[in-house]
Amino acid sequence: MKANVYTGFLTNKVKVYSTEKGAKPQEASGRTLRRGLPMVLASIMMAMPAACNPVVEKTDSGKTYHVETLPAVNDVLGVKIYEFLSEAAINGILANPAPAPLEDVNFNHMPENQANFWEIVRNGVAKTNELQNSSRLNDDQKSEYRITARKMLAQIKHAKGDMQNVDLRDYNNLKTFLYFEKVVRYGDKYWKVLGRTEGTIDERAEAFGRYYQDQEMLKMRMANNVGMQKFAKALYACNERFVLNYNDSIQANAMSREILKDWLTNQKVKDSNLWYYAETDEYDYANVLAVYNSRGNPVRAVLGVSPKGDLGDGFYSPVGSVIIHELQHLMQKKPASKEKPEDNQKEDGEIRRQSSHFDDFAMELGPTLYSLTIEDRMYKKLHGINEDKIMDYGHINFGTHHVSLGQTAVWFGKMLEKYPHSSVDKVLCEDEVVNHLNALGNNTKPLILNNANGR
Amino acid sequence: MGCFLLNELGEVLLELASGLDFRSDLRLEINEEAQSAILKSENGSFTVGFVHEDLLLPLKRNRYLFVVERNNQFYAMKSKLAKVVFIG
Repeated sequence: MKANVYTGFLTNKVKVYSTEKGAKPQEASGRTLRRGLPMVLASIMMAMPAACNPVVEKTDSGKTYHVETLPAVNDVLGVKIYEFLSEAAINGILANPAPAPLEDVNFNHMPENQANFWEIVRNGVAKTNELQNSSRLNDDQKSEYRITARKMLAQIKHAKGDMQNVDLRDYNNLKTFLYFEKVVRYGDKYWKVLGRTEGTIDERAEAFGRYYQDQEMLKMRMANNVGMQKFAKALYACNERFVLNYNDSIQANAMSREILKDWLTNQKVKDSNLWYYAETDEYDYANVLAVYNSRGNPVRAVLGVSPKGDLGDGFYSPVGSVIIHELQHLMQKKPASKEKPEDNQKEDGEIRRQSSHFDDFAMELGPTLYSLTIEDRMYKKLHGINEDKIMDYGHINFGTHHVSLGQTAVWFGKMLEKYPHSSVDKVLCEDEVVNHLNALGNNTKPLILNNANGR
Repeated sequence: MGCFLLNELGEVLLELASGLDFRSDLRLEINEEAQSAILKSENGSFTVGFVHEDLLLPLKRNRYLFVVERNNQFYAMKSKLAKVVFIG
């Protein structure tokens, strides 16, 4: 069913099911819906039950769909559904937060619902106001609390005309919740709330969680495409993907820093304190993004990177490439606890944590292919080779068959140009890319797609 | 009245027009054979006359349901995650 639902979205069909027996599921245009919220669609469709609307049958690519004629859908969804909190609303909350009694005393980093979101946010603002009288904070620190509160409120996204109705899936809303939860908990302990050291990333980092929904979408696609799963596993296990070696490291590191600079500009990431330099031999977590999101701790990430591109065990990857790879992971991470809201009322021992290797491979696929592609291009530039030439770096081994690394690097470079999304996971979700990777993993021929866009 | 919607992640959303007690824990008990369900809160319940077979797998997989109450202007007023339990 997941496959049907997902495919439904990509093929511009989404289903709404009535709780009345006998009512047929309704389908509507996914393209329009992507601009709105499912719950808005549900509201609209509920207001027009199937019995009141004429049902027409439409035929598309040999399939027949029952489509409701819903004149109001386009009118309503055609306007902007979400908006940020207005300046007047922000001033209003700052001046008079009017917090509901604080009932949520868990530090669980995941809003249970909209009421819980506002409970924490409004209490956080009230606390910020209260801290202006604290003798433990100097004037600059008090000002930083005020400015950060305003910044966090300014990124709240809510349904148009209805401030209470916030989008709990939005990464900025999740981060706002995290911040105010921290203010409520730690109050005037400045370093706990606003302290920052190089390489330590918290909810204030603009890159944190930016594309987590694309990663969730990719997991959905991979769940239904076994070949893609096989490809992700085989690629990550293939050590030959580190196509550059120490002989090229001086030039490659310099070149990669320029690539990193351009990448940060394109991604509009201005924060230069997202990583710190660590020697691989001395630090266990060098070149790895360590994320702390368990119960009771503030959600944060730590990123240490070897300045030489030393990956340990004799492997090398240019420093800029490593940083891009790890920051792509930072963008994939949901800015919330790994626990679910329903775990809020449970004791520590009641929570069952599941680790999934599948999730890890889904996370690695995009950044690893991206690293392979840019390192392939760097190798060719360093050695004066044409960018389109397929190099013999070795193979991705599947046990039953193998695939050329050089060919994969060139192909993915073309996909990055064809689908210039900022999120690498979004590129991977394109039908053409899924189709190709699935075929490589399964050792089958790619499906023939209908048009130039790969659909 | 209510309706289910599947979002792009295969999560199931149930939207209700009538009141339920959103302050207490919510639990959706599904009778798989009868394809019916009851959404229970501490002080009341909402009978779901029909759960389409397409929804059973996502509900089994995710084990939770996002319940939303809307007002007449179609805006969601309250929301909560409900635990999904299969009976019968």
